[in-house]
Amino acid sequence: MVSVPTPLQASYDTATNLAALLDSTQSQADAGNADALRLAAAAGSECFSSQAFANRAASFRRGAERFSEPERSVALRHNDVQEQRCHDLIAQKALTPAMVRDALDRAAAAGDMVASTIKLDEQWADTPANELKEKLRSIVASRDGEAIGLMATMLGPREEEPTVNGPFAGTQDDYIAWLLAACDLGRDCSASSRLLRELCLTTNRCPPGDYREYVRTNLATPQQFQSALVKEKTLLGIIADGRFQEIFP
Amino acid sequence: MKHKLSWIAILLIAISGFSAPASALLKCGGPTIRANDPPFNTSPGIVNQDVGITDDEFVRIGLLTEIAGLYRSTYGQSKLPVGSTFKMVYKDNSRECATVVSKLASPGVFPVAGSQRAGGGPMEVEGTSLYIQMFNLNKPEVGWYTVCYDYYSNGTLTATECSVQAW
Repeated sequence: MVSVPTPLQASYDTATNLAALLDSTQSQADAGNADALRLAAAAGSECFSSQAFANRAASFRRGAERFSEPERSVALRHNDVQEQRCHDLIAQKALTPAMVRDALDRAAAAGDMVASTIKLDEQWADTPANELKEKLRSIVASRDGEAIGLMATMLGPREEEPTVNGPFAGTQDDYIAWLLAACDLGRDCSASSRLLRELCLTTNRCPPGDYREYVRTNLATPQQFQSALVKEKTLLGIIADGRFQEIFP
Repeated sequence: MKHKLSWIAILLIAISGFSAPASALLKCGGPTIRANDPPFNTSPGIVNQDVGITDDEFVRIGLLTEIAGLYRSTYGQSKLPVGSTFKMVYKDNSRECATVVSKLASPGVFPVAGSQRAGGGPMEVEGTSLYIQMFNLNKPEVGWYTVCYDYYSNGTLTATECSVQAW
C-alpha cells in the first residue's frame, strides 16, 4: 500500500518560493480550505527560525564547510534550498510567533490533520485516554502520511501520562514502524525531503541517503529495525482494510 | 607590606567575584542545557550566534525551539514533552527558564517571563560555588590559601570540598 500526497502537499514539498505558493493559495485559505491553511502553518513553522536569525544561512554555510563528504555537499544543498524557499517570506517580516501559532490554530480548526495532530500532542496530558485513542484512530483513518509521521512521536516510549498501550504503541519499535509507515502513506521521505532538510539544518546531521535509511542507521538497533519492518507491514495491511480499532483497542 | 596589601586586595576581589550564594541559583525544573556544551555548541542556532537574555524574545524563542529539538534528537523523542521546563544557559552565561508548548511545531518553546538572569563570572558554575576560604601569608610572595567548592542540589548545600594550595 503506497499513497501519494495531496496536490497541495506535493506543491509545498517541491516549492522553491513559499511566499509565492502562499500567495497562490491565499484565497483558498481565506475560504477555510484545510489544505491551504496547512501550508500557511507549515511555511511559518519552517521559516520561523530563519527569520529569527538574520545571518542563519550564511552562518550554517560556514559551519558546513568543515563537514566531511558526502555530508558537506548534502548540508550545503539543504541550506541553499531552505534559503531559497524562505527568502521572500522572511523579507515580508510577517513571521511573528503569534502569527505562526495562529496559522496552526486556524488549520486545526478547519480540520487539517497535520495541525490537528500537533494540537493533539500539545493537549495530550489533558485528554482522557479514550478520547486520545479516538483521535489517534482518526489520524490513521485519514491515511495522511504527514500527520501519521508526526503521530509517530506520540507512539514511542513516553514520559508523560496517559500512555497509550497496545500492539503498536509504547516502544521504540512502534515509533520506528509508524515513521516507516508514514513514508509508505505519502510523506516525503526522499533524500531531498523537508524532513531531512530540517534534521540537517537544526542538528547538523546531514545523511546522504533517504529518511528510511536514516531511521535504520540512527534510530534503531538492527533488531529493532527488523521488528519495525514486520510491524510496518502489518500496520499497512490493517490500514488498507480500515480495521483501526485493532491498532488502538 | 606593599606585596601583602596587593595579595589581600586580589583575594578580596576573588572572594567577591567567585562566591555564588545558593539564592542566586535559578531553578527551572527539568534539565539544564548549556550553549557551550556539546552537542549544543555546534548547533546552527549557537555557532556564530551570540544570543543571550538581552536579545529580542523573538530570537530567543527561535533558539530555544531549536535547542529543544536537538535535545530530543540526542536524548530521545520522549524528552522535553509539552508542559515541561528546562533551563537555558547561553554562551554569555546569562540564563532563563523555558517552557515547552509544542514538540512538533516551531515556535514550540517560550521563555518564562521574569526568569531571566544575567551571566555570572567565568568561574561561576550552576549548582556549584567556588570560594577562597582562608588565606595565610607568611612572606610577601609565599603563602597558602584554601579553595572550597560548595555543591548544591535544588538550592540545598549537599557537600563541601576544600583543598590547600600554595601561591
